[in-house]
Amino acid sequence: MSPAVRRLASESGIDPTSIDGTGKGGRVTKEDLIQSTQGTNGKEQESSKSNFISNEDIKPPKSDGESTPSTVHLSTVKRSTRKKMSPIRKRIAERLVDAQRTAAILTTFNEVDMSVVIKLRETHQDDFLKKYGVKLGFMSFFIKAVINALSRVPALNTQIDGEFIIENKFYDIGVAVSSDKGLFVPVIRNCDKLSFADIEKAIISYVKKGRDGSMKIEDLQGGVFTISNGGVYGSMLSTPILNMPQSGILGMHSIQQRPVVINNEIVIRPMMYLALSYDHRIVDGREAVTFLVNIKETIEDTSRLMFEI
Amino acid sequence: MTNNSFDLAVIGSGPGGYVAAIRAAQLGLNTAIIEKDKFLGGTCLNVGCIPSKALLHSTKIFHLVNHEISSHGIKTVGVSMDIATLMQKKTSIVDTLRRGVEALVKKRKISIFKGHGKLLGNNKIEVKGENNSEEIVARSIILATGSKVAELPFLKCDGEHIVSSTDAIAFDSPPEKLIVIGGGAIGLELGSVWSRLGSEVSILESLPRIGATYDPDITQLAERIFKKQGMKIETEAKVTGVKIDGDHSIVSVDKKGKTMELMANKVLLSVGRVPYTDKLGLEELGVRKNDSGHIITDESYRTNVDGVYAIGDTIEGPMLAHKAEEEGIAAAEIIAGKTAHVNYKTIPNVIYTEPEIASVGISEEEAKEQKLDTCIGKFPLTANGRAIASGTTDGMVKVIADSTTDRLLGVQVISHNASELIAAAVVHMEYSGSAEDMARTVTAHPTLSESLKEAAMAVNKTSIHSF
Repeated sequence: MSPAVRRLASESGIDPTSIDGTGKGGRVTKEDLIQSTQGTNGKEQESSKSNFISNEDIKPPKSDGESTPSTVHLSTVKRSTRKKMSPIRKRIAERLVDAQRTAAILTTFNEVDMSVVIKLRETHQDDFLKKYGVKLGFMSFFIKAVINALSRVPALNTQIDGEFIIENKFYDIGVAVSSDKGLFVPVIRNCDKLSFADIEKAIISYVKKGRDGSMKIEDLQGGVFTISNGGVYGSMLSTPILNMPQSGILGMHSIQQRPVVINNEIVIRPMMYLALSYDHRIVDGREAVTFLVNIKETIEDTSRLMFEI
Repeated sequence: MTNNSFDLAVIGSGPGGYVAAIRAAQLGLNTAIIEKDKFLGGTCLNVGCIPSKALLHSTKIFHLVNHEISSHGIKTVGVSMDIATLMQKKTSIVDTLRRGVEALVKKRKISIFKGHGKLLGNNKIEVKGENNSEEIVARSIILATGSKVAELPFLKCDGEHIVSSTDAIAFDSPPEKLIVIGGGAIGLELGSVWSRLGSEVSILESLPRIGATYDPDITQLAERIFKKQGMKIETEAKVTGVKIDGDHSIVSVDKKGKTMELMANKVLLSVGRVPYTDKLGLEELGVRKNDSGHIITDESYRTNVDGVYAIGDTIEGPMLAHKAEEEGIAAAEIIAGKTAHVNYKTIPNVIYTEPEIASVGISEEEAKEQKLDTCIGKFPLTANGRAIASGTTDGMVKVIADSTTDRLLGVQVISHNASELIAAAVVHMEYSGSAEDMARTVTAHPTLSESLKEAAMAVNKTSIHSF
């Protein structure tokens, strides 16, 4: 190791063996070390030094006869690696921390019987697919239910802007889409005017954009409410973090056969927990609970959509 | 004709050619060298680097005795220079090295063919000696035929009035007035030699500064020192014509629109060198060259003709012996089926004047052109203890580093022994070192090398021995 690398390594706590060296024979250079810590400017870098993980914790324990530092390098398998955050990951991190720092986030929970929606999908899937070329998914039901609830409880369609409260009269809904490049929340515009098929097509087009990296900044801007479906990964329950400056986010979860009591009888029903995180600064508890209950009722009886109740 | 069939034939035995041949032989290739001159070693050994360094060394001693020795309390009377002995000494030095190269080549069982090599196609080479001609066959061929003196459209060397460096290392007496056209390494070195021996030397450089590849702060210091030593230096001086008048020449110079006429007993033409690929059969074979006459190769030194490689001065890049050597080794290794690579970012460049001027990497000017943010550290030799003790305070060290990563981008040195000092900087750069690495590497005290360390420290404003 070069003298500058030795100095920087001991000051920063970074284990140079965890960095891919660009120097001759794969040596780690001062440049490599600096670039591995970059992304914060001078002062922030100083203060963040104490946050570096002490690599003593993750090094293999030294036996008595091997007390020299060089024995660490003999290990050819890296116990950890250190890579610079991608710009997307950095942005995600900033926004999440910003939300938690700014909003008074509170989460209300409920559960929903999915029998009706599952039955509707089974009944109409073939015709739907034949006509529109896309599958009828759960998401379009939830987007419709959310819009229905938003129109009942407009408090969830508001945003704080300094000392002002903005109430939106449109329904651009963000849907969290995961790809290997990171998590995106593209926005489906004017969902109140879209059919189920339009919504399903929009989601598929965003999934494709996420996968091939052609997602544009405009695609991600201007939503009024977000839906996040952790259920696809098997999540039972979670508390979503707001997508600022929005005031509400609905968390969908996995559907499980659970015993529930209906008409004093224990029956097995496909159940999903719902979580609504909201900004308690402008949304009251009553409003939030009413909103979530409305969604629950709509999903359990989709005819409510027809009557807009 | 089994003994005329080889794995590799190298045409030219300069530092590129003989090194390539030795490396190839080490790797088990049955190798031949073709050399048209009487001795192996090429321009560098016979009429270039080595004889000029011999003369520079001898004349430096003469200069010290004439100008500095009395301040040390050494009294001398009737000091004079016998040019014939000086030239003999030079020749014997060259002879020693010729024997050395020949021994190295023969030890490796490399076959030597004396004569002019010419590609015939189909892996065949004709070697035309003085009286005989033979043909050899080689699976691979390396063209390492080097370069020759560049001439001006209106000015050709005649060996008498207008001379090349080859002539200027062998004058039998110092010309009274020597005009050197071209203020690069060769002009400055040979100008120094004859200036020390009593010639009135004028260097004419068409560019705004001598040693134009170095940064202006380095060349301005060099110019001041060389003028103090007695050389006249005219920059932005374009030679427009030379008239030969009896035993002397009149050189017409245009300096920023003003015309001057200078008288000279000898005119040294040192405006550079051009690839030497005459009568090699390249045109017949269709070997591609660029506009400046350099053979075009890929990164593996392959020309467009199968099995034909080219290295050294015949291809693009600085015309330096050590560059040719590295390429020779790389080409031999590639031909032997290995992978090889030359790091062109760390090729040192030296002008062997006193003080010497040496550099590696890019200059501050080049860094600016490449829009790199740099931090510069400088250290003057006047603040170095060893320099003061040995009377070599003329000079400075300049370190150019990236302002974000501290990575060394270049180092420029003007000092006594700069050619040796630069080696440490080359090693740091080869290992992608930072200015801090150089600053934190121990150097013996007292040495001139400490000034390299101090200049590296100055990059981060932590120099101990300067402000």
